[in-house]
Amino acid sequence: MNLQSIFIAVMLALTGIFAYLIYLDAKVRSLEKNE
Amino acid sequence: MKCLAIAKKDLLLELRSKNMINFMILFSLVTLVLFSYTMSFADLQSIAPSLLWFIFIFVGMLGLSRAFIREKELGTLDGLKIAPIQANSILIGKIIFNLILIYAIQIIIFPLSIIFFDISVKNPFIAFLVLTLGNFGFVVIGSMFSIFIINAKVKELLIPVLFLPIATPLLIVSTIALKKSFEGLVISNEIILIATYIIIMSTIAMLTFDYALEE
Amino acid sequence: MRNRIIYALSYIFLLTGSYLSLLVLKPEKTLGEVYRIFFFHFPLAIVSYLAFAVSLVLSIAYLRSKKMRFDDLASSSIEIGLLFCVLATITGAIFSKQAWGAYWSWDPRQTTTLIVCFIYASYLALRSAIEDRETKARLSAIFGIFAFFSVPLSYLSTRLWFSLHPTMITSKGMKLEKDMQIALLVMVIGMLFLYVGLLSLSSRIKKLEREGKTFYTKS
Repeated sequence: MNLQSIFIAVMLALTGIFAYLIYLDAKVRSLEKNE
Repeated sequence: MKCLAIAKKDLLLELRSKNMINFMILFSLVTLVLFSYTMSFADLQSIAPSLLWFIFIFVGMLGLSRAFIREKELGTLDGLKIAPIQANSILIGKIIFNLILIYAIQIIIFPLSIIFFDISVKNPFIAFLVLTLGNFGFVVIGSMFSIFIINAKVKELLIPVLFLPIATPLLIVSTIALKKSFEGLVISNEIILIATYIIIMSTIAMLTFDYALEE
Repeated sequence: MRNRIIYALSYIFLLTGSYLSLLVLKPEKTLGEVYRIFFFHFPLAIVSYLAFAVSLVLSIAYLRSKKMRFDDLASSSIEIGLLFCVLATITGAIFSKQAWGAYWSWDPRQTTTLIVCFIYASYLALRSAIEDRETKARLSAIFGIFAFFSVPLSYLSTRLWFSLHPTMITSKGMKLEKDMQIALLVMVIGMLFLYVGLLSLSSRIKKLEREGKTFYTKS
């Protein structure tokens, strides 16, 4: 496990996490708008 | 003082029915005998301080929360709430009652453990001091957390979950202090730490008990 | 919109910090390559302690104002803090294993972090055991205050224990050069933004659930 592959794994993980957060954020936003 | 009246009421109830104290003593005795039976003397002597504290706080946890659960079951808690006393007096009264209970258990169990485990207590006065301080800390936390328990589902399971992590610092230092008192060493650091724990936790309890009793 | 910005900032900082700590920095003198996990461990730990400190303030604020928003924020802060604390414990154990040969050395900081995990896990247990919303908020706010003050007490008590039973002779010296400090700072800022973003998201979800707009059902 060299450092390059660790970094790529970290990058993918971060991207996945933040994509999910933005998705959740959009969902929350739409629920908040349904006033 | 009103808190003494509350403590006295609980004591009288308990002396009359004896339902809590009997079980607590029995539980402690059975545990003592079980451990004496299953472990060698050498092992016993090295774990005696922590084992003793474990027995006391487990018995305490079971007994402490009974104090409040019984109040809730009997509906007397509401009566206490509207009584013309400060909320903190209720807490102090319960603390005094629980302290007496724990002391009662310890008076019986501690000498017995010295016999069963064949431990030598080089400094009995310090040991008594350690027991007193530790008792106070555990009882303050236990009495306070009993308020949380009565409002929750699954009461009995929740008691150790809430109590043990927060009591861990006190347990660690009390065990060390008790062990040192068996060996006759100085325990100034431990006393300072336990005292700090008691002061901080009691202050929080006094400040927040009003909120705990609200409905 | 503001949340997206926070997420973006966090992403940038965390990515940069990872890049720096994994690919740019040279192996350290005494610890070799393994020290790189410290750049994840330390920010997680410090942001978790910050989250718990914030929860203390929010819990007190709830008790005094009885505004549910504070309870949403306090419980969210503790949830995030607990997550970061668990991750910090795990990364700390990995670091400890690689650097000093044992996953667990019972040293004060490591043990305290574990105890803190249990303390705040019990906070969540309390919350899940109470049904009435107002009672839940009130009692967990009180418990949150106790929980926070247990943290320094735990540290002191584990330190006392460790001074009597030193299990490992660890030279915790890890020299932090200038470029390492920068990388560390970048990671801490990234974690901080992540915490803020998660806090906002989580508390808004809780608010929606209070208002009856259930979030996780498919409808």
